[in-house]
Amino acid sequence: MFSRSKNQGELSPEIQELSPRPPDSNKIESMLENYVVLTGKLKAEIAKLKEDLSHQKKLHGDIADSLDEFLTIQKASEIITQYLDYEKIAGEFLGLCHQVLDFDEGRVYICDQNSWRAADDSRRHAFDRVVQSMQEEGIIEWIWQQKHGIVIPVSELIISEQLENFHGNLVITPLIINDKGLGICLFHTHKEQANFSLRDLELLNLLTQQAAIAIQYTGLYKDLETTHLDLKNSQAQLMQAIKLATVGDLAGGIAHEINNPLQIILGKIQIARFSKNADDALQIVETQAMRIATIVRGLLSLARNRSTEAKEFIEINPLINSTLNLIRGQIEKRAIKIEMEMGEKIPIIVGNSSYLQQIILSFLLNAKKTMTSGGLLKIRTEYWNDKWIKIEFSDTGVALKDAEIEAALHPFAPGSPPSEASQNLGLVVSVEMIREIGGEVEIESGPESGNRIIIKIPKSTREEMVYEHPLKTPA
Amino acid sequence: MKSSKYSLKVIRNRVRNLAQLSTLPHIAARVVDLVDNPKTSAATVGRVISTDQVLAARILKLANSAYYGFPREISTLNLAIVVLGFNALRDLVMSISVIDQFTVDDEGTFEANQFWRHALVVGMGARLLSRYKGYSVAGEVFVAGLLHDIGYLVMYQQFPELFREVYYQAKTGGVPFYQAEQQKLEFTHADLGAWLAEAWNLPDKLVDAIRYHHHPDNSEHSHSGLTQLIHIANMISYSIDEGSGLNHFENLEETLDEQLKTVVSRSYSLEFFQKKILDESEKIDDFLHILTSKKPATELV
Repeated sequence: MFSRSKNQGELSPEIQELSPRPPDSNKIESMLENYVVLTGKLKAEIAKLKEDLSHQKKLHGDIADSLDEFLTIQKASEIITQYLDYEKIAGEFLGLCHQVLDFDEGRVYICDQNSWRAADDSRRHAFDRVVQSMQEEGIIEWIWQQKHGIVIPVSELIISEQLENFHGNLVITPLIINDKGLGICLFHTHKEQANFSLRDLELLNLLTQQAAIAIQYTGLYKDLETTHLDLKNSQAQLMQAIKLATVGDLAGGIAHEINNPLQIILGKIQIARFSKNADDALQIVETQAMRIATIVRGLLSLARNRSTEAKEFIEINPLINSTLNLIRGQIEKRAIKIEMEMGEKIPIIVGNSSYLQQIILSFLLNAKKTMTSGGLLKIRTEYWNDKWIKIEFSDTGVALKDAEIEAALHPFAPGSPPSEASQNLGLVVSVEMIREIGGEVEIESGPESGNRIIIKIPKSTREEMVYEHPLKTPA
Repeated sequence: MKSSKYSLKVIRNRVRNLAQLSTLPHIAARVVDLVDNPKTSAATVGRVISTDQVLAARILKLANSAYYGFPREISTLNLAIVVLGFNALRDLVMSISVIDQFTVDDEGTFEANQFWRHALVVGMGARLLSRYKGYSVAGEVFVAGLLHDIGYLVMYQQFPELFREVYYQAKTGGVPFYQAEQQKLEFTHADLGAWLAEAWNLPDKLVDAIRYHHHPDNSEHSHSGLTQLIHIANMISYSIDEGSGLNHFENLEETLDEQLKTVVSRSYSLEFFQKKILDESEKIDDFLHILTSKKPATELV
């Protein structure tokens, strides 16, 4: 731009322009001044360009840094939320924190109803006392409220004298979900307090937030597991209670069932005492005593607590017969006719006979309930489709209402009237019990035809059949 | 009937000149800059503040006030920075600088103490809301809240006759101050504040928040999230403190509830935030007292 002229005494066009006339000393001075001004401007321009360049470089560096930070946090949320285990979450979290802060030791503490424990391991640690003292002082509560981490020199702690060989700073970040403090993360570092930046603290905070989410998930999951287990237990208890209630229901009828043969036995014994030939009477006594024994055995097996482990080989037709015996008298007393149509070649199944008996009894009682005087109870069994053992109970009694059927089949469906379900509790429970062993239930009803309940129980698989259990024959 | 004595241009120029006269103090500007860079260390910020010992002492006193309520004594600037946070320090420096800049005496028409109290409540309220909204750069919300009504002060100091005119118009007409402004003037306190903020070279989104804090829907910028937050914080402040202040609003709570849901969070109710902000505002008096008293806190130096 300002190239020197080739010939001495001649000036470049620019300067000639500035000084059109041949130079005298004044002119030269002013020329020089112009030079100085222009050079100054150029220097300023260069400085500005340099600054721009460094700004651009810094911007680029910042973006690269931000990208790194972003990736770290994304990784945190990916890794941490994979686990449902406090120890693993704490481990992964502390690993990620090492990328942000150079610390000697870090721990995650979880607060559960005012009791504190370390998430990673339960061994005692010097940090435990730190957490306790900070909690007593109200520092933890404060951090939860402010929702950001702080850096405190170990020497500032009340209990610093008790912490020998402990120097440097402690970094504490809050674990919070929706305003609720879950715990804190504690780091011991030799980084100086003055060297902390907003970035350091914000990044640690963000990572801690991810950990808080994971810890919250884990807590909820564990709660859910416990609730689920509780629910299962109480369901089992409910089943048992209903079974006992059924037995109670039966008691009246049973007394009658037993009383009948008992009266016959007593009568025959009287006769036997005074007659020379007691053989006939004793024959009848034996039959009647056997009848009582059958009833009592049936009762016992029904009341036996169901254990899912107790498996037996079961023939379905005899099981139905023996169950029917329990209430045969009651049914016949109502002048209800019983019609049996037992299928042939029904495979033996592996299961719990008391469990099945409870189901059968429930359907029989239900049929009885629909017919107050007279009627027909039909029981059919069938081996169906090489896959299912089908049992049908048909009655000619009062038809179940649609709402009752709906309640029995879907007791927990929203909008299902609870009163309908509770009126047929036995039915509801039986349906549930069949479903539990993989079976299906259909209920058909009409005002003319009465009710037909079809249950299908899956044939036992080959693996189930070879299953040998000490209780393979009914007790 | 608009007052014709002051044209828009005259007013604007005077505000610009005012801004030149009372620039944002060097230290405040520097701290705002420094905190804007997340890599700035506590030591750097501490060094800049320490150049003004009076400022440093007042910051320490504020840091130890009931408002922050940290259980231990905060005895050094560095500790204040890593405990209260960089943003809180910046907010403190800004508060002190701005309040010092506009020292006014109380008079019948203007109560300085109440003015600053409202500014602080909106600043703190906005910061609180931003935590629930998850507004990523929560940094400027406090400053935006602190400055949102600064135009009132400018008007009161620089154009006292205008201020009185509008004040009596509001009083006799029984209308809110900002409506009286619209009836009397071609601009509002929001415009005045925005002009000052522009002249101070504050970031665009701050200027926007000040200009549109009564009408966030008019905001021209995509970052009106800040403007909406300030608007809501301002309204909540009125809703918990009715009877005082220059303005009153109708159907405040219903509109607010709706806005909170769309702007801040669906999971919390208006009552929740009202209670939170009321709790904070109760702690503000002590804070404001330290802010407005210029004497250095000798016991801490």
